[in-house]
Parts: sequence; structure tokens; C-alpha cells
Amino acid sequence: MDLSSAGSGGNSLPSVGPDGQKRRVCYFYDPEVGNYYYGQGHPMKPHRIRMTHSLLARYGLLNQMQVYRPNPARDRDLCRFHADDYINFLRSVTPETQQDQIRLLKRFNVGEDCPVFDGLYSFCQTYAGASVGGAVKLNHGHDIAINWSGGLHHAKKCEASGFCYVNDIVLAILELLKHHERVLYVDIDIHHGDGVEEAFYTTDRVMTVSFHKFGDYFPGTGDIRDIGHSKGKYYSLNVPLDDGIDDESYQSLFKPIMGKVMEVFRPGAVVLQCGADSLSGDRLGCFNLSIRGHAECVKYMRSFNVPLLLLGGGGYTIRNVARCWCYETGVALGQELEDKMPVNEYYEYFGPDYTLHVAPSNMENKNTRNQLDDIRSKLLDNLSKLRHAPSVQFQERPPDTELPEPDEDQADPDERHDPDSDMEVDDHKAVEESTRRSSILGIRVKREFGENETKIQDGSRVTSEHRGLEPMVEDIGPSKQAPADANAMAIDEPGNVKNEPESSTKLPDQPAMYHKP
Amino acid sequence: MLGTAASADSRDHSDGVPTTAPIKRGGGSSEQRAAGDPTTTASATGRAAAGASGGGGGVLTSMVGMYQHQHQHQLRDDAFGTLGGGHCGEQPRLAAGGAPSSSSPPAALAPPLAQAHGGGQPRQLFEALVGGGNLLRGPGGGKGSGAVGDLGVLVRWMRELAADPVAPLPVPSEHRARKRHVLALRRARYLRLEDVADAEELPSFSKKRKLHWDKHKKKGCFNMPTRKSERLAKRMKLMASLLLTQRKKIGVGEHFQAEIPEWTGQPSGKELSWYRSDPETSKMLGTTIWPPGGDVNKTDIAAVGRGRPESCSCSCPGSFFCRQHHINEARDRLRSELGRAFTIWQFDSMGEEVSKVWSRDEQLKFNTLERLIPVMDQKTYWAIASKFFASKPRIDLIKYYLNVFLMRRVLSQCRLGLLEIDSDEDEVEEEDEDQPEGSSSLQRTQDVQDVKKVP
Repeated sequence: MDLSSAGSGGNSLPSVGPDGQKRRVCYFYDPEVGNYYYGQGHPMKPHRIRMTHSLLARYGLLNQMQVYRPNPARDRDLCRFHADDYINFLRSVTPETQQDQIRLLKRFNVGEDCPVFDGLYSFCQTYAGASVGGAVKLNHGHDIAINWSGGLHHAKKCEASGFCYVNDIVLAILELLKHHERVLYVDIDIHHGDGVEEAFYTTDRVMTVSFHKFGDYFPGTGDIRDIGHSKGKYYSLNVPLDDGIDDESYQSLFKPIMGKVMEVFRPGAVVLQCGADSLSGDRLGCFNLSIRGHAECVKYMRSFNVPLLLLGGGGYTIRNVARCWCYETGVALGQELEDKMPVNEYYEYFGPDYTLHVAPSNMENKNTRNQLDDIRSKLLDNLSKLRHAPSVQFQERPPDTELPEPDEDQADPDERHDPDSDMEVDDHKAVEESTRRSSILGIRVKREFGENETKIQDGSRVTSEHRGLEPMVEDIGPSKQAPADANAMAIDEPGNVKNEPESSTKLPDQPAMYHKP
Repeated sequence: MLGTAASADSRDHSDGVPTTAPIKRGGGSSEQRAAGDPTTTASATGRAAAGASGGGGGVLTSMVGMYQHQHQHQLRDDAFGTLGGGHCGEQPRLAAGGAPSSSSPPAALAPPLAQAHGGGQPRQLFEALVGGGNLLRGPGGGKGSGAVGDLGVLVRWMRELAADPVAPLPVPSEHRARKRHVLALRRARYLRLEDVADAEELPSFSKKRKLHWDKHKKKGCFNMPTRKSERLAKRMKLMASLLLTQRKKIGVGEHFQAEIPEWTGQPSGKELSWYRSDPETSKMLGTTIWPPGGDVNKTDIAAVGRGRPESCSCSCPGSFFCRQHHINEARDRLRSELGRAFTIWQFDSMGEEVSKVWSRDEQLKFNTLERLIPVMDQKTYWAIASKFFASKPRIDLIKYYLNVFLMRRVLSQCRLGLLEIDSDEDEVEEEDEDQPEGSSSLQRTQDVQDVKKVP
């Protein structure tokens, strides 16, 4: 199916430039997932995934994606990371029999925050299967895969933690590592992504970056001084934040840091955990991000045009979670959504305003300018010590320049973009845009926020004359190519297989090629 | 119309009903108001709520579970219209189409609404509860016959209050005294959980539990960090561990890290094609649901990302019925667009649709049950629920709870203009048991009222 063409006639992301580039997006959803129930009063509600799905349908976004029902991960899939005895335990424990296994419950930290509920194991299999499936999709050459039921980042190798039992993220990254030398993990949940960080703490093939509330907060890890160990030293990045952080403060760290990370680490694939508990008004959270601010992270990571796996995570004010993930699905598709929500099965949850966006609160932002500057410079300093990925030339850049634009055209001859995709839909806008863009080109560096999202795939690929380091390719005049999209692609990617997306010959990333000279 | 629907709905589902007086907050108001005076106007919400918080319903019905039906009954008979009008006043923000909603209160529409929402006879539910299990030992539990005293005076007072909520309050001392009185009455009239429950059945609702909470509280003194606010932290007792700072360290060693194979260079073309054809791997791709048959989908691209229309031609735009109408309409459209996928994704069992397989009585029973035992730990709660609904598998109860019950509660909270809407909170905030019961819900509605007074 050609997702790429989909929706192109419609609105585009405002901050992105008129024709945010289309990507092929696939989405995993299990219709049963909403029925798993952690128990009365438990803040984690898989029901929110179903609410998200309903919104996606009503906004017409499901049409724009390939939608899969995941196959459950099998024991041996789960055991690629987790200990056998832990998985055995999860498989066998039931609410009725748990009392007989008190010792094991304790040992595996199952019981209070991570209760035993009906269908626990199949829930784990479902969300893990979906994340691994997403990774396989990316390995097959898809641009973006989404699993909102995944992102359970606290689960450890041998124990459950923080509502998470099985770490689907680790499993998905392991799958991605089959095809990619380096994988980047980014975590914008309000809680530290400790399970993933720990799993990859000693390797230089996976870099983990977590933005989280730090200080008197679960899970307690995530100090800025925790940077990884042994070979993994400098490959863990922690961005400790304080209460009330708003969009602007957040992005003043996120963009420079992630830009630098992309530049020096040059991952072959990116996994983004989109925990929605960092939104304003979350039941367990204390940040003050708007949905747009949260989604800005998705846009930014998407703009590098590196295979991207989007996962869910925390998020306990469920109506806002559904809003957020629906909007971010739109971002993935390059599709802006109207604020007035269409009627849907869960409409009443969104009262009294029935809008997609909700205003952040006026809570105090405890992150001072100085603190933020300090954090940023420390982290950028750490990054400069990073022994750049093997075989990659480390490039010096001023610390907060924008990101490198991974130049995939060259790097990734595989056909990620469906050749059939009708990019031409964008054409009408393209011409006018191109003028605008070229003028923007000159001042690009100044626009720190908001601009960079989606790059235009074909265009950007062709116009490689620009510095190639900017994520915001779309700013760069690529659209002049738009009318000739199809050709452009063909030219760019001689190797692409035109028939089945799945069959595309995706070459494993060749890091060196992400960088333009 | 919408107003009617809405108010009936909130009556039916608002969570505030102070069954066990101290527990519920906020929402209780509407019931009592209605109970206190059938001619209440909806705009009385804030004030009446504040004044009556919890009292009226109990006074009139003197039995758990009856207030709602009682009200519903009354509402259907007459007060509905007025109520509807009042609620419509708040409608504009709710209006789906953004059109100001009309405030015509078509009384004729009330019955269907009540039906839709399972408004049943008061007795029925009560009997269902009594007969359905030994949860209730006996109505009234022996409490309450005493305190009635000047019941008539109080009822009259509440009636006046409800009829003219913006009238100047009496002198504060008198006002306070009356409120206290109302609360005392309510305490007396409502069952306490202790009265209705066998200790065996509700082990969690005992002194033991109380101690447990106390312990938590103390622990909180030194140990619990301040989160967003003390209030929230208080609410999150259940998840205390999330609040604790556990300065843990990332572990290093074989028990912590994933095993990562060495990178051996880019996979060769052969390896790649092997990967693609490997059945084990492709299994993880799952089943393609959309697009059907793998076709490229060329749906109405213009509609992508589209919100709701600005206006509609319903007679009462923005009303509950209006919304239901559009939701149904949209569902039909979706059904025809999605075809088989509609069923696979179970759109037919999302939202209000789920309530269609529940009879009115069952719905009432469920509501009451939830109010009776709101703070129970999950195990007990669902154990009792299952007992009450022996014919329904637990999964059905949960589906109903998530798809219908919680959503209706949000709806009613919106109607009541509560400052904070809990779309999620299925556990109810625990009031300090030492406080006069209901005082905090009183405070809350009082707050709402104050807000409303601001021009």
C-alpha cells in the first residue's frame, strides 16, 4: 500500500513546512489489548490503546497505514533477553494461584505495582510481539513502525518493575541489531528508562538517551553521571529534569542533544519510547508538556529519516494519552489533525471541550535557565568524548547546531519508500514551497525549534548539496523535486525493489554514508 | 434534549453519591439536589450540591441504592424539563457542533433517555441487591432512624436552596449549622459499609485496612517525597512505591545486561534474503488487517485528519442525543469503510455499544455496586462483582466498566462542571475518616460553586 501518498492532499504539519514528507508507516494493534485490566484503581490502563485506536479510525489515519495484528511473542522470543525462570513464572502465575508462590512473587517483584491479573502472560506476549514485529518491519525496509501498546521500559532481565513485566523495547532493539550495527534508544517518558539502559549499559552498539524527572521519583536511577560502563561508557545518556518543565525548556535540551547524538552516533535505526506521562496533567507525572511539545520529539526524530520504531509507555490520564498518541501517529504520517475531535466511540471521555489538544497548566517550571544550560553543556561534553561509532568519522560541530541530517539516500539504498507512493500528491504545494524554502535555507540554523520535522524524502535525497546535517530537510528546497518524485526516487535508489515493500533490499546501515562530507 | 439526557445520565452515574458517606467526592450533588426537590433547576448544581451534599437523597429514600431511581423517577415526571434547561446552559462547551444548544426541555424525550441509561425502579435495584447476595444485611442497618428530627425543615431548606441557588446565603453561622445538620442526616440515613457487609466478604474494609492506611501516612512523613502536590501524593497511596526515591544503581553483570552478539559486518545479500524468508521471523509480522487484501488503499484522502463538522442539523445540537446520533452515524460509516476490519478491531464492542448487552437492571446494579464498595482493593471488588453477576464472565464486567461506566462518569463530571475530571480514576479518593463525612466533597462542590459565581 502506498502510505506515502496518503493524506498528502490534506493538511500538513504546521511546523514542518507545507509538505511534510510522507513515510511508509505500519501500525500494530491487537483488538484484545484494551481488555487487559491491571485491577481496580491501578493507573495503568491498556484500555487507552483502544481509545487511541478509535481516534485513529475516526481521523481517517488507519487508512493511511498498514495495520497488523501482532502475533504473540513466544517464550523463546522473550527469553532472548529475559531469564528463563522469570518467563516461566510469568507464564504460570495466575491471580488464583499467586498466593502459593509468595517467594517467587517477591523475587520477581510481581504483586503490588505489577499485579498478577487475568491474561497477564498473553498481555506480555501481545505487546512484546507487536514491538518485535515492528522491528522486523523496519528491518524489511519500512520507514516507521508503531506499537502504542509497547514501551514498557522498566522491565528488567529478571524482574518486573513499574507496571512493566517484559521489556519489549529491549527485544525490539535486539531484533534491530541483527541488521543495524548501531541502534539509538530515546525515551521521553517522565520516568527514567532504566530497564533499557541497564540492558545495554555495557555495549557501544546501543545508545540510550532518557529524558526524565529526577530526584525523589521512581525509579530513582537516571543520574546525569550515569554514563554507561566498560565498552558502553558514554553510550548511556541521562537528562535529569525537574517538575513543571514546559515545551520550550524541554526542546532546548532535546534538540541540541539529540542532534548531537545523531551526528556522532549515527544509528541505523531509532527506537523512540513516547511515554505520555510527561504530558501536562498526567495522573502520575509532574511535567507540563503540551501534546504538540511532546510530539515535537517525534517530529524531530522522524526528520532524520532513519528507520523509526515508535512505542508507547507510561501515560495515566488516559484521555490525554489517546489524544497524544493519535496526534503522534498523525505526525508519523505527516498528517495534521484538526483540533475539534470527530465523534468517536469514546467521545465522552474527551469532554468538556472535545478537542484534540489541551492547554498545559500554569504550574511553575522548576527548571531554571541555568540548570538547563548546565545539563546541556555537560551532556554535550560527554558526547564529545564518545568514541564515535567505529568506522565513523567524528565531526566537530558547535555544540548546539542542528542535527546532522542522516543522508539516507546514500546510506540506505534499500527502498524504504514505496516506489509506488504517489508523491506527486504533494506537488501542487511543492512549487510554491520550493521558493520559500530556498530562502529559508540561508537562515536555517537559527530556527531552533519547530521547524525541523519531516524532511521530504525524495527531495532531500536529491538535494544533497546542502549541508546534510540539518534535520529539517524540508526546509531545504527539496520540493523542487517533488513533481519528479517518482523519478527522483528511482534515480536515487537504483536498487529499490518496486513491487513489495517487504522485499526491499535494505542494506544494513553504512554509517559512513550518513554523513555528507 | 441534550440537557435532559445529560442530566439523567449524570444522575445515574455521577460518582458522587455518598453511599458510604465519606468516600465519594464531588459528584454527589446532583442526586441530592434532585432528591431534595423535584423542581430543582439544574443551575442549582453548584450550590445545591454544596448545601445538600449527600443529604437529600438519603433523607427521602432512606435507603441505599434508592436515591438514584427515585430521582430518576421524579426527573422523568417533571423536574426533568427544568433540569434539562439548566444543563443546557452549560452546553455550549459540550456542543459537538459548537452551536449553542437549545434549552428546550422536551419532557417527552426523557423516558427514552432514562431507558437508555438504565433508569429503573428504585425498588428493583434495592431488591436486586438485597436478594442478590448477602452484601446487604438489612436496609438502614439500624442507623439513622434517630437523627431525623427536623427533617421537614431541612428538606424545605434544601428545596429553597435548590429552587433559587443564587439567592443570598443565610448568615454564615446558620448556614454552617444547616450544612452540618444535613451531613449528620446523611450519615444517619446512609448505610455504612460496615453495616452492609459481612466482614468475611469485605476483609479489606476493616480496621485493619484503616491501620494500613495510617501506616502509609506515617511512612509518608519521612519517606515520601513531594510529588506534584501533596494532594496527588495522597491520592496515590496505592502506588506508593512510585513515589519513593530508591536511589538504585544500574546493575552490571550477566543478570542485568542483554546478550548482544558481536557485529560481524553488514549482512550479505544472502543473509538478507534468508532473513526475509525466514518463517520464524516473518511470523512476528503478525497478520495484515489493513489494507484488506494488501491493496493500496485509496480512500477519501480529503477526510484524513478531519475533525467534527462545525454544526449539524439536529434539533438540539450538542446534546447527548445529538452526539449519540452522530456517533452511531459515524459508526455505520466506519463499518462500511472498514468492512471486515470493523469486526476484527471490535468496533462493535467499544464505548456505549457495550451497554447494549446489559439490561437496565444489570446496569443499575453495577452502578450501585461500584458505589457501595468503591475503595476496595481490586481482588475483593471484582470477587464481589463476579458474585453479583454470576452469569457474566469477568471480562464482560471489565468491558462494561471501561467502556461504559467510566465514560459515563466523565460525562457526568463534565455536566457538574467539576474542576477536575477523572477519566481514569477508578479508585476513589479516600477521605480522612475522622473528618465529618463528606466534608471534602462539600468543599469541592463549594469550590465549584465559587468558581461559578465569578462572572
